[in-house]
Amino acid sequence: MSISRREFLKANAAVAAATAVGVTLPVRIVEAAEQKDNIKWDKAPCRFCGVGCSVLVGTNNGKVVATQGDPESPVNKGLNCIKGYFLSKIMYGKDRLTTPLLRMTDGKYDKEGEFTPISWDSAFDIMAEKWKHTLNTKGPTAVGMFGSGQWTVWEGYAASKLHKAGFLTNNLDPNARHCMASAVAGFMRTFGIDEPMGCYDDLEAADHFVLWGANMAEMHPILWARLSDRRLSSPTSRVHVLSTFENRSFDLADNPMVFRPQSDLVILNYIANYIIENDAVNKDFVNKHTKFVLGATDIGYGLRPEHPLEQKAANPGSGKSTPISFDEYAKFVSTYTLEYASEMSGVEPEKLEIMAKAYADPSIKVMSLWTMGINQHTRGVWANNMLYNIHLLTGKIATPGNSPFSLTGQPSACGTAREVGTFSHRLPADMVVTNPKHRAITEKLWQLPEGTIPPKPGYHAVQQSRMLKDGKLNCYWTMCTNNVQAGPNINEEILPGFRNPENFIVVSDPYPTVSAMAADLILPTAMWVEKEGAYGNAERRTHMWHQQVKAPEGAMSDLWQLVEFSKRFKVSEVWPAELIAKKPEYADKTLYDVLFANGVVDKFPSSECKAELNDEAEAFGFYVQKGLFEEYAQFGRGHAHDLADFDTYHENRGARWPVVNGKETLRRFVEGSDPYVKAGEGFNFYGKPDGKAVIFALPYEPAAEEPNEEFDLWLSTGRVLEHWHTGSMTARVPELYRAYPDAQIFLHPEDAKARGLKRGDEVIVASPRGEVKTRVETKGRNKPPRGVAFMPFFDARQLVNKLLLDATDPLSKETDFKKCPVKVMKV
Amino acid sequence: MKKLFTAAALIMALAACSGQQTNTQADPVNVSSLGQSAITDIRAADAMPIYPKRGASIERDFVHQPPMIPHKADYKITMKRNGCMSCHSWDKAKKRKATPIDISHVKDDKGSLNNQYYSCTQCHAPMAENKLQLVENTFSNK
Amino acid sequence: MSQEYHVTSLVVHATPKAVSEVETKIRALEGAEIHAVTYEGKFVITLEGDTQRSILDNVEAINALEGVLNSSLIYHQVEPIAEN
Repeated sequence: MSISRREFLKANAAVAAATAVGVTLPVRIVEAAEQKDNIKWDKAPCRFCGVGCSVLVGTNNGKVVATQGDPESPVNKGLNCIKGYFLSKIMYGKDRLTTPLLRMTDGKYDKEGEFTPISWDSAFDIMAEKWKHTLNTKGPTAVGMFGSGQWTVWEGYAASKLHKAGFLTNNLDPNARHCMASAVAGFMRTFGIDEPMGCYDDLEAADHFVLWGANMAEMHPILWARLSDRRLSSPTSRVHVLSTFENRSFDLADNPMVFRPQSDLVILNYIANYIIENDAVNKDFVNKHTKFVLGATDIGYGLRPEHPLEQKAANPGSGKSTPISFDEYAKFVSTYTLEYASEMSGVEPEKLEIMAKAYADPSIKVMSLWTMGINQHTRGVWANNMLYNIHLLTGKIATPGNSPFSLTGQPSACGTAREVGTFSHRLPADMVVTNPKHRAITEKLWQLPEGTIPPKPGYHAVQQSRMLKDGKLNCYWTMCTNNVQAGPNINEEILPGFRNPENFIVVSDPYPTVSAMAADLILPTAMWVEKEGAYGNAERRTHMWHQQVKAPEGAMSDLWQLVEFSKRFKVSEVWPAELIAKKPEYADKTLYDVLFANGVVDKFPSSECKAELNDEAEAFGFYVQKGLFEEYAQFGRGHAHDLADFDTYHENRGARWPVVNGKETLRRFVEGSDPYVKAGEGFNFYGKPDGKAVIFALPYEPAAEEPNEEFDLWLSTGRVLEHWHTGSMTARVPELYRAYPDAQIFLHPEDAKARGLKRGDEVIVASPRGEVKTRVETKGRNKPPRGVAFMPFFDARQLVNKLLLDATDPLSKETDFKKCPVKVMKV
Repeated sequence: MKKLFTAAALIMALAACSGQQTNTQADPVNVSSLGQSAITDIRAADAMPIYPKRGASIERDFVHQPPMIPHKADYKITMKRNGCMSCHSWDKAKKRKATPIDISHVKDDKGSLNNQYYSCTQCHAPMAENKLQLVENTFSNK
Repeated sequence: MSQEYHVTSLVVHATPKAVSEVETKIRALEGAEIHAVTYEGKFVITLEGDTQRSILDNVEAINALEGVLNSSLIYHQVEPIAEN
């Protein structure tokens, strides 16, 4: 090997290390490295899950040429999972969209026409025409948007302003409604304020881990790696795993438990009962910091009001509760005995007791972890409350290792959807549209006349589908989400809504997804490091990235689309005269002027951007991302949602809010860690006016549908490690596709045999609402018990969500994706 | 190809009178999702993936990419035993003609596995030999 | 038997007090080269060798030095050396 080759490789190695820690190397080293490779490295959060790993992105010649785990991030410390390792390839599928496509016939829009390229100008022309027509004839309740927990923070914030203050509609809901809404409602009911009180550091501090319906090995792999490390290096550490089927997380479980679907509610109350009966209640903590209530029951399933299940419910959608005493709570849970829990769940009593003992033992620090098994559940809010009950009864909360941790699925369901409040009932910083004080605060910060923000919640995700089908929602824009594949009840609700001739549907996406195929107008969208962004992960860590490459010509970011679209509307065209009369200086302005060129969002010059590329700043003439962020941050600062200054997030690997005086908060509600808890208070659940967290007495209630003679299997749906959500990014990476090419239905070998099936057979999986064809898997990574089946939803060729009922938790409006009765027959 | 459309549309727009509706003469395009079927279709299932019994190591596309597995990967990884290490540990790799685990995965000079890297399949996956790609990917490491 | 060239880069973090001591000891290791040291005690180092084992021996040695808080392996490349 020539000396120069050796020098080159060594220089490369040195540059890689130096970049990782932000060190400048002597010029000769850098030059040596740059001789052949001009790779420039910069950080970015991973595009995928809520763990929020950081990666280093290598760019050269305007393209991403490599990625690696970021050693400087405390989240992943240089490690990634397989999806993260292939981030370098997700932007390079050959079918990237580069021009708006409108269904046309003979040069005119036609809902039954064929997709024809048009200019951005023409795209906004027709969108403005449709939106204005609908607003003028049917009003603000007939326009809406379905956004995303994968939007950047400022994209969500811009969408929120455009809808709540521009079009005067609350019909903005994110796809996070499908994943985290139950967790949010759980937080609000128990603590009065959203998001976990612990952080990832609890993984290294806990003794026992309990996974509730969360397959962390595949879905939060880096956290699983940290948890495994803890388990394997600590002799007293134990892992309890509960799921409705055996999965990869069971590989490292000391106490594996497969339970009957929906019986998690029984198990949760059993544990509370065990704690009380075995005198393990932390009386001091309970008396000082909690109170007890009895929740309303028989609350229905979030279905259409005419549905027999809703008609039968005594208190459909009720979240009411009445105060009770500790003794009344104890009596309530006393019927949840070990025998009852074992009978209902099918789990051996010994295993349940081992887990209950761990929760009860004051010397064992327990971290509970959950995501979709608990949230995508018709009683998901109750399950969240009941998980907190256990940790509150024992006082095992908000201290290192004692941590009820609600894991987040999407990369910014926290940072964008929840914190910015892009929900049909929300405003930033946990405020709600129904509260006049909250509306007033928002109107003041947004410089709006009093009465601008609509007071009635808009249509949430599942309701949007129903209203589209019924023709009540007529102009619909989806961004960064693929609901025709990912949402429930495709055949009966979602698809008819998209194809209803009264409706005009716009889908923004980098790639032609199933939703794009069902739309009327497709807008080509920029991805990930093709724009400057910010995400907020599951442990409240906000982190940012700079634009590192340009998007393919023609593709524009969601932010650009939203802000540019606002220019098409004059205030006089969308606000009623009475509202304009309160701020007459707005009459001749556009929504762009009022919402984005309002002196606050446009106050930072583009020169403040420290990166070479920032296409949106260039387009609008100011540092729009910083302006939006700093305006948004005003909502939370001083109100326990404090974000640090914008620029700091570009320097560090993120910071966990509340960030007060430059210091991030690891654990909330506890003295010494949370700056909002005063000395001497010990704990303060300050989300509630009296500082007390709420322990809820809630019962077991059955699922919306249960298997019957014809549809005799419970079908659960979910993800797999190698694919993200609907596979629009991952299925276009050859290695990820080849690692897991197609969906199958996982069956117990005996269930297959009983139906005359063997592994590999092509079958029809059917529910009352639809069918898919797939193949049988009896030896795969998931091993369901008899009576249960599993199918992933990443495969666009097998739209499993056609089968699902759009039943939701009536409080959170989140769909239950895990309990659909189906039948399986050979083709 | 796309430039042609834009240029054509421009010319048309200039030639047309103002105030008319979108008068583009661009042709419809053939755009499809990965669904390879209409949404309402019930598409026949593709063949099961076949993973090779053994194979030569697979070249990486870029530095830092974890190498993919050139063979079936049903080896169990449990708390008691990591199946992959029965061939890929430093002391067994040469005999088994397997790639030894990377230096970044070990914590001492005997090659003891760093526990954060215990679940090998989080980063390494087998490649189906009867499936290559759904759509071409133009990634390049240069 | 084919020869190989291994190069690994790492970031080593030493307590500020021990920086010069650590620097001297690392320089003494065969195949080690220090490219940068920051004021907070972070070293950018490359290790070269012809076997993986020799690299690792050096990593072990560095980790064992008094004053070294931790080290992160950043980059590793192996290049076969063609026989002539």
